[in-house]
Amino acid sequence: MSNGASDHRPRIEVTNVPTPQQERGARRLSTLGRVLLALGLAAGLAAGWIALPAFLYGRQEQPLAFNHLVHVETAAMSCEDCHSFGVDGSYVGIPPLSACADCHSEAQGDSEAERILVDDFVTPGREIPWLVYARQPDNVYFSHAPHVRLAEIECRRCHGDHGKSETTPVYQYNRISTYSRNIWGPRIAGGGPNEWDSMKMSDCVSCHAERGVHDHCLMCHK
Amino acid sequence: MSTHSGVTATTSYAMVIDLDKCTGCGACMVGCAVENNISVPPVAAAENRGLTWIRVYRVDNGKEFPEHRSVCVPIPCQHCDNAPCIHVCPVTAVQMDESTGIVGQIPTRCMGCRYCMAACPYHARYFNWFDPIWPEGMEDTLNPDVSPRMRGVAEKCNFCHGRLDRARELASAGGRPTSEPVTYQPACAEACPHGAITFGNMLDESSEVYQLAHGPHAFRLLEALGTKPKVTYLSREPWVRRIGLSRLDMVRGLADAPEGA
Amino acid sequence: MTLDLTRRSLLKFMGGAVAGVVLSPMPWKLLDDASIWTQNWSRIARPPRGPISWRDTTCTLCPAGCGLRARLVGTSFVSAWPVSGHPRSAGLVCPLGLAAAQMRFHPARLRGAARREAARIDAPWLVVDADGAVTDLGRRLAVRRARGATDGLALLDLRPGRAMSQLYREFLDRQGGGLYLTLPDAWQASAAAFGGLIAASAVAGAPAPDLSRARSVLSFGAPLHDGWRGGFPAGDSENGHRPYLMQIDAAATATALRADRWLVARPGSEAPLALALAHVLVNETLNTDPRVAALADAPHGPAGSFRALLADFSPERVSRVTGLSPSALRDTARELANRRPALVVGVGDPGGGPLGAEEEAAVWSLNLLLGSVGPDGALGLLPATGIDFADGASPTATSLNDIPDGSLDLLLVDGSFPGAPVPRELLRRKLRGPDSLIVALSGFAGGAAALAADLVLPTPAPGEWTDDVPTPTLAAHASYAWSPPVAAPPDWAVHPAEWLARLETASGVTGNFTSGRARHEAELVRRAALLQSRGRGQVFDPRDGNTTGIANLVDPNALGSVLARGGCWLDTASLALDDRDLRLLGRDGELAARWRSLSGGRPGGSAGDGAEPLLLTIGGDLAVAAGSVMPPVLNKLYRESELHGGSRKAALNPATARRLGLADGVAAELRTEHATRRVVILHDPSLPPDLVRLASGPGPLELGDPGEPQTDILELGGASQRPVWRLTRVVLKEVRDVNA
Repeated sequence: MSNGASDHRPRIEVTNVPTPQQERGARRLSTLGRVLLALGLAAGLAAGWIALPAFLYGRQEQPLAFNHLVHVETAAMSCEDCHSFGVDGSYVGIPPLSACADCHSEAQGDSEAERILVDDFVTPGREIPWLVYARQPDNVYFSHAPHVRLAEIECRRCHGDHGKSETTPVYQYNRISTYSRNIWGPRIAGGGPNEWDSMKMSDCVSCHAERGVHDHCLMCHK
Repeated sequence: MSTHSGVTATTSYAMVIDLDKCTGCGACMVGCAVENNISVPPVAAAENRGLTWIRVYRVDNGKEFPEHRSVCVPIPCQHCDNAPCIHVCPVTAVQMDESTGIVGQIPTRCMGCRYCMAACPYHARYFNWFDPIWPEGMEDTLNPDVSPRMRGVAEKCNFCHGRLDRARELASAGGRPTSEPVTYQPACAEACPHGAITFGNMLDESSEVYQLAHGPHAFRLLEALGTKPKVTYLSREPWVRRIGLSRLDMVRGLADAPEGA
Repeated sequence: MTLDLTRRSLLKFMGGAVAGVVLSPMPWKLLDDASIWTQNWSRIARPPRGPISWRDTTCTLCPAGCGLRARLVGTSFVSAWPVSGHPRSAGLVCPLGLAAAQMRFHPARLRGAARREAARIDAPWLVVDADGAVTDLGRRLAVRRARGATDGLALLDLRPGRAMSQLYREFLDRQGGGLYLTLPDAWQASAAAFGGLIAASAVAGAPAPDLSRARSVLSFGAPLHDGWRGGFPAGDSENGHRPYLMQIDAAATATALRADRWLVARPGSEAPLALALAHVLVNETLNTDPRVAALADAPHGPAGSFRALLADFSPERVSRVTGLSPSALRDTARELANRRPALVVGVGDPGGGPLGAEEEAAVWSLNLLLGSVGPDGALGLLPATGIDFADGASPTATSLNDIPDGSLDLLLVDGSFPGAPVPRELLRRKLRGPDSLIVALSGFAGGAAALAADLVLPTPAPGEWTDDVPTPTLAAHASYAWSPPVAAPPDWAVHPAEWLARLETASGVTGNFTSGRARHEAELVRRAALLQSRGRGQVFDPRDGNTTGIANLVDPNALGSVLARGGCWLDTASLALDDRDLRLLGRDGELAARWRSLSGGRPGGSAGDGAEPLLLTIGGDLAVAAGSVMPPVLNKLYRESELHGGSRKAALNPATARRLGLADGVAAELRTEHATRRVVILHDPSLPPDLVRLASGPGPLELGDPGEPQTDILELGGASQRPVWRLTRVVLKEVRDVNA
């Protein structure tokens, strides 16, 4: 099953008469067949595991690079200085501009990020349009108060260690569902190496189940 | 996700509506729509394709002037203990929370078959015939505690669960465990200018709803069907109390009784 | 080496690829994301996000000025709720107020200055250059001033008594004079009639019926449970939840159905009815206070005494006019006398048109005979210190009804009350010629004021600017509040005071202020400081919900700061009224003759001649009838409840309908002497015979559609022809055509 294309036609008849060898080959697959199949398999796997994430997720830069570490170490701030509970029990996830402006009404250093902060946001009084990695869909109800105050779950259990981060990672969002990639997790199959790598409904449910929390749809959906 | 065992209910939210106090101003409907992000259907929407979580009906005594009398009856979801909509839903989009007694509807799970609407004897369920569209810019007036629903799903009153969530959040932030009952007011009760709507915990015998619901003028709608509604109505007028009777009562001969006890 | 790739090879490759894809998360992930997308597509609106905060303000959608607690998400004003303990609204808000947040995004909201393409009600609005429009208006004003004219210019203020009203009058002053017009509604007309019973020399005070102090109330059609203002407590009168209520109403209104006693009197017979009750009160000496007898016998010159007049209004005689039996009249008078403090209120159903001045005067005289005025009564008298701000601008208010037709070249209309019932035709008729203009300062291309206008200059919507809300007419107490903004106005919306300043500049007046807004703020602050310096009354502070005496405020500007956070000033003081100042027959005894002329009821009302004409009544509140600009969510009440029939349905008693051969649901033409309207017949067993009830308010499909004019319901009643238009004869004729 080879040779020139010019005499392809008469050979059809020949190839159509299967030798015992070919008969076995047709049942099993020739080497080329195996190669093609493997190639196809590889291509399919590549499409699903490598190309899909590349095409599925859009990438957006944060309006400015925020350095948690410098705030925690150099400025000796605690997490609660910016991320705190309001009087109504609601949690201030991303702090409002006023929290930044308390210290950065004028530039304190010479970093590019701080220049952007002061010139583009603090001076004109415009809120920073942060892209929120942990933003849940609109129909999800989540309150920090019972998780943090009552169950005493650590922040990193869901949010990871980004209190030690020195810059803001690129925000990635699902082009179809529009959700942040952090909900599904870095792996295209879902999740990641760390327990905080995904924030899906199944993650909520399994943690609730472990802790024996009473569940009901309206507990977490609005 | 099953919750139906091992839950000790401390709360059963219930509502009492005093029909003698209702003047039919409609504040409950408007307060509800504002609270729960209920959109204005397009102008072309025919009357039976509207959407409201509490509808005020006018019921009369069937007589002509001057004996004619009518009463306004606000009907939200009755949050039946034995809710027909739960039994018929093929995709478990309706669930009763054993810890609060609230019958919840999950729009994202609903597939829009409308069995529940056919099953509900109170016509308290509504269908999103249209995309929820507000006049331009009015999205800015939506309540973030309630998620707008998509076209093609059923929805209904959930006793302002968003307000319950807020009340629970405040309680948790203060360190109170979630198992403790919290008190809150749904939008219709807050909006009613005549105090006709009382809301509270029926398991607390000292609560106002308990007292009113066990008073002499209380009745429930279509009780004979066995739905065990959590909304109780009050009226001093015997003819008004009879609007809760159903055909089943007539079959049993109850409809001719002078008045229900 | 060449490969012999056949179709079969390709299939193998594809097979492998499919297997590979299936072994990857792609299918499940895409399926999952696609299903999420269906819950999330862009046509689902997304609520704003942000921290929740609350801000107190005052509702300006009607003159009642209820307290509102605005809920803000970030900077977005999302909803409004009642303020418990607010002295004006006592924790109540009507449906309009509950949806106040929607007004900012009403479909009829203007996005720039707009001119009507033609002076027709259905003409479309064209966006025009605001500066050009102001220049043009300025030129007109300059020409007028150069001529030395004092006529031709007028300003109609729909909510008089505000700081803005003061600025309007100053504006007219500086233009060399002009008419400052008001359009008294049924409530203001009622209050004005009270003044006619008091001697001119007496200390002035506004009548303040306090329902909470009354043990019994007799209402002449007042919408205590109808309309939007319903502050009357509902429930059980036997348990003391509310006063014993007697309602005089031809139609089965919500108030009538909830009253302890519903008296069905023929429309137009209200004056003789009230005087018949007075007859019983005086002649049976039901009020043993000797002052009542003295009052009834006081001579009024040629008119004689009140008691002499009452001889013409015996229950037996009046019974034939009203349709009520003499015993019903006697019982009603006795109930009132037995359950004092008693209160008699007029107003009538504002949806059905105002009562006449004679009816209102008769109603107030009943209160005087019942001893309702005074410390033991339920009728207070508001001292001027609570309602007068001593602004001293020269043009005094003139009623729009009192100026001749064809007399105005330029009419400015304040549009801060988008629901005010302004008959469009009445405004248009006041214009002199084809060049004459009506210019509305309004946030909306709707509402009666804007519907009558040729040009609308866009102003902020309610909730976007600080207006002030003086004491509502017929309120129980004097009060004063501001409406601090809870949302930022859009760029194109200009403060009404700023429009005035721009018009002045364009007209060449070198005014004493350059910023209209600053002038308005100064006037607000002046008013607060004036109230505080008078040292009377109390202050409700929404921050802690407490009410304290004004004397406790230390800082001279403290009242202003409380008002700026949505507080309210309140004065419960009431003036004493000297019996010697009472004039039951009017200041000059003029009422005697006018009452006698109505002893058979108003013409057009009670039949008497056996012809039994159909009479039109309009249900609901006119603020809804004419003000098409109300929050769009209100259509829930019109389309999705059985509370309001909408303005396209003419309801009548089934027996009457059968007599006229009108089946339920047929299309018909409703004709009055003033206008014609296409309606659908509705058989309504709650209505008495020979009465046609047309619901005020938009048609079931019209709400939120700014293109549909709604003023015709006022025109049907002839509102632009006569001040009292309750009594309108109607002809109904079935229409059989395909367009029905």
